[in-house]
Order: sequence, then C-alpha cells, then structure tokens
Amino acid sequence: MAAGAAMPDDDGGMQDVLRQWGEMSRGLLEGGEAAEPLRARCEALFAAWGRFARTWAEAAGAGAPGAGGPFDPAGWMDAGGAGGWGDLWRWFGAAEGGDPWRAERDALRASAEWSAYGRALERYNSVMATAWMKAFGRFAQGLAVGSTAAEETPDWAAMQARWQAAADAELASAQGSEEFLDAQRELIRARLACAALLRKRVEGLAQILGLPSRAEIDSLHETVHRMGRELRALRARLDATGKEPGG
Amino acid sequence: MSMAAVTDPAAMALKVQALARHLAATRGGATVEIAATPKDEVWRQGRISLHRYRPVAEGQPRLGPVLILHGLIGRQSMTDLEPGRSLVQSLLEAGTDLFVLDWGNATRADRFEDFTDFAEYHLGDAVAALLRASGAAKTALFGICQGGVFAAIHAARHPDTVKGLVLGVTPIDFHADAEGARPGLLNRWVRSLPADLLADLIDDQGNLSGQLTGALFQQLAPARTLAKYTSGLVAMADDAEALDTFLRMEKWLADLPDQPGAAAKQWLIELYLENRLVRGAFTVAGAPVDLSAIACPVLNIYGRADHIIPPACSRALGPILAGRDYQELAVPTGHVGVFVSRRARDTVAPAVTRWLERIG
Repeated sequence: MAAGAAMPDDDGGMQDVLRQWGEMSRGLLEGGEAAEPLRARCEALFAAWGRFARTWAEAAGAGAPGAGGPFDPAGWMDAGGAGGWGDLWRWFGAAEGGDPWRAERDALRASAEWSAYGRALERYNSVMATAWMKAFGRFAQGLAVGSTAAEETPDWAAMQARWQAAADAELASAQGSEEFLDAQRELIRARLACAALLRKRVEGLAQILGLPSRAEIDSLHETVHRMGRELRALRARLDATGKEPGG
Repeated sequence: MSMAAVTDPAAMALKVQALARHLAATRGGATVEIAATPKDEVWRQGRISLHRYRPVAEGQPRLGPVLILHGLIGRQSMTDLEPGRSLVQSLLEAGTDLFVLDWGNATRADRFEDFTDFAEYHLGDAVAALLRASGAAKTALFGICQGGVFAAIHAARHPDTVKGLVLGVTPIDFHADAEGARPGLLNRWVRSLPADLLADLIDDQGNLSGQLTGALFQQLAPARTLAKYTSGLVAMADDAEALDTFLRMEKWLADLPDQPGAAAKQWLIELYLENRLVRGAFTVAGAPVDLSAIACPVLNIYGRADHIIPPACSRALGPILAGRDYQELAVPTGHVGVFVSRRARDTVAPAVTRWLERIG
C-alpha cells in the first residue's frame, strides 16, 4: 500500500487491527472526559479482531477442506485436524528444538496419538458392527424365504449352520471391502504410532536408569547373527580347501 | 440335536455339567497329548531340532527317508495331532523312515533370521544330519505351507540331496487368487497394506507375533469361530472323544510361535505383497531362486476349500514344472483339514505312500 493512501478498515489483515489499536490509544489520550468516542473505538477494535479471526479461519479452511474454525475443539484434539488452533497445535507439536518444553510436547503428542487411535478403533468397530447387523439381516431374510410348513420347528443344528453360513458370507464380503481395508489400515497405523511413542518414553526411562534399551539389545543380536553367517562362510571355505581351522 | 433338547433348561444344564466334568478331568485340556508318536532327537542346533520317528512296521523301513517340515507359523505337531488321525502314524505304518524338523520357539534374539537361514542353512544342516543318521544319499522333503516354500527353494538349490518333494498347502504364486471369483481374504488383507506399514508392524515387536497370526486366522470366519467355542462345544458336550479331538486342536492352535522378524518381512512383503517367488525375483543366499530348477519328482497337495492358501496359489507350480514328474492331489477340505480330517487320513497318507513307492 502506498504511503498516505487511505487504509481500508475491513480488509481482515493485521494492519487493520493495529490501526484500530492506535486509534483507540489516541482516543484515550485525546478524549478526556469524552467517553463516547472511546467506546466507539473499542467497538471498532473488537470488530477488527473479529474480521481478522474470520479471515484466518477461512484461510485455514481453504488449506484443509472441511476444516473447522479457529476455535473448533477438533483442532485441539486431532493431530490431523484443521483449523487455526489446530495449526498452532501442529506448529508446537512438530518442532524439534532444544527448548525446555520437549517433555510437554511429547506428552501432547502422546495424547493426540491416543486420541487418533481411539477414533481409528471406533471407525473399525463401526464398520464391523454394520457388517454384523447386515449378517443378522441376511440370516433373517434367509429364514423368511426358506420357511415352509415342514420347517415350523427347525432343527437347532440346521439353524446354527444357516446362521454361520450367512454371517461368515456377509463378514467375508465386508472384510474384503475397501471401507474395511481402509479402516483396518488406519487402525494398524494408529496403534503402531501409539506403541512407538510409548517405546520412546520407556527407552528414555531406561537411559535414565542405566538399563540397556531395546535398540542396543537388537544391535547386539544383529552382530551375533552376522558373525554366525561369517563363521559359516569361513567353515565352508575351509571345507572346500580341506584344511582344518588354524592349519 | 433338536431345538427342544437345547431349549430345555434341564437338558442344557446336563450338557454343561458334562462339559465341565470333562474339562475338569482333563484339567482344561492340559492332560490331552498331541504329537505323541514316539521319536528320538538326532540333531540339534540351538532351538532347532531334528527327530526321527521310531518305526512301527515290521522289519526295516522300506520307504524314505522323508523329512517333514512345517512353516514358522504353526507347529509340526499338526501332522501327528492324535492317534487315529495322524499322518505321521499312517506313514510309519506304511514303512516310512520318517523325520520331522522342529523350528523351536524363536525369540527376539532370532529376529534377524531370514529365508536364507531357514531354507538354506538350517534346512541344509538338518538334511545333512538326516543323511548321516539314515545312511541315505538323498531324502524326500515334505513341506507344509510355508515349510513347503522352504522345501521347494531347497530342492531347487540342492538337487544333489533331494530325491522327491511333497508340498502340502504351499503357496507358490501369491497373487494367483487375485483375479478369481473368491480371492483369499488373508491375501487381500496383506495386499491392502503398504510395505512400510507391514515392516513397522513386524518391527513393533521384532518378530511377527504368533498371537497376532492366530487372531487373524480367527478373524477370517468370525461366526464360525464364535460358534466353535459356544454352541459347538455344547453340541459335543456328551461326546468325550469329540471333546478330546477339539482340545487337541485347540492345543495346537494356541501354540503358534513367533516368526523371526526378517523372515516374516520377506514372507509378507517380498512374497505376499510383491510375489517375487514365482517371478524368479526372490533371493536366497545371494542368488535368485529358480523354481524350474527343481529336478526331482513333485507331489503337490492342496485343499479345495482352503481359504488361507487358495488352490490357485498352490497349483501355480504346475506350469513352472511342465513336462516334469509332477502330480497334484486335491483334498476336499480346508487348510488344516488336509492334514487332520478323517477324509485326509483316507486320502493323503495313501497317496503319499504310493508316490514314495514310485520314486523309490
């Protein structure tokens, strides 16, 4: 914007907010007992803040379609959620600085991962519950279609077999669907993310207590395995030349 | 059983009492034995051991030697689950010199063992020990499921020590079911996961947990699983023999070992996901495995109703060995039923015996 040009008071930018702060401050200094202009300036300030917040929310929404607004609690609870506060959450959570809040950040991440796991589990259970309900429907439908006068007192074992066939067919179909596969994939991913965070925590504690970590023990096992292979190769070479070790 | 019998509270109470008595008598199945056919350990390398069954037929064994090897997912005891339904017993009665390989219980210390360790080194050492013990120059391999993959790889790489290959419910082309009307659910599940997620899943515990594998198998047919432990149990409550069979099967199912992480990654990623074996792109001991190099006679056994290894996945070996001494045997059962059902006893053991007689 060129110097001296009229500054719009509704562009949703931070300049707008700052200008209103300045106006209010000047009003306070110059107003004296004139309370009315000061009140008007305060109102203008809050209106400017509201415009700024809306603009921010719209920008966040454009970046992540379907996102909530800046005060949407989903942004707080969801590591993958969107919204102004969600963006702040990710900003804080993703940083790997040397600041004093690393432990707090880990705790926040753990909380977010547990929350994500809960949602993934809920989704998986929902897919499976729907499949079971369909199975009951298929079974009931089969009974209605297959009922004859001779079957008024159905044999229990036959009923059991019908139920099992109907349910397993429906569940096999459901468990092969893209919806199920996606839910299963996300559930596995979420569970592994939780386990990884927990492991990191435990390894940190192990370090404090001077205990060997899993990574250290794995490294040892890998070395032993590699040495076993090398020993085998050495023996094979010796067998091929007909020499005894050390001979 | 009639509906009236089950809905009658008195009859129901009697059945539940009978069930409780049987479970108490067997201490919840603890006293029920599996794999009870007598055998002797002839070789051991850490947790892995080779056993030779004591002969039951008159005179010297006339067939074999044969080495049974299971995969890392279930135990070898499945072929000797109970007297009267034991493939091992049937083969011994036919006069077979029979050995079995036990992979033992892998721990996190074994997580770096891969297919090279199993199909090349461990199996190679076991075969060498078998040949020393039996005095034979070659042996037949009888590989089951993943054990069949180990056996096929070994036979392709070592024609000098393998005189015949029996494969039971063994996957060769892991994608052969993809275009069929009924793709295997387990195959579909694995194929729906990206390689990095499968790797993370295994790395999470270091090995592929047997508990997880068992849960997946149960999830393949959830209604059948539920019925088995509820109405199915009540239905057999007053049949002690059926209950014992049930308890033996449960004992086997509850004892699924962990699969070493490196081998599990190859199994799930390189084979299930990338289907490398049938393409000649699967590497063992630094060289690609060429299944067409299998030079010995092959008997390929599969279950027509196998929903874990669909028949098409097993039968894919046929075209690779076209023109060779290759036979197939279709058994009208599912995956495990090929080895433990009564029908299997009447079908599989006689067919294997005839085949062994033929190859000499």
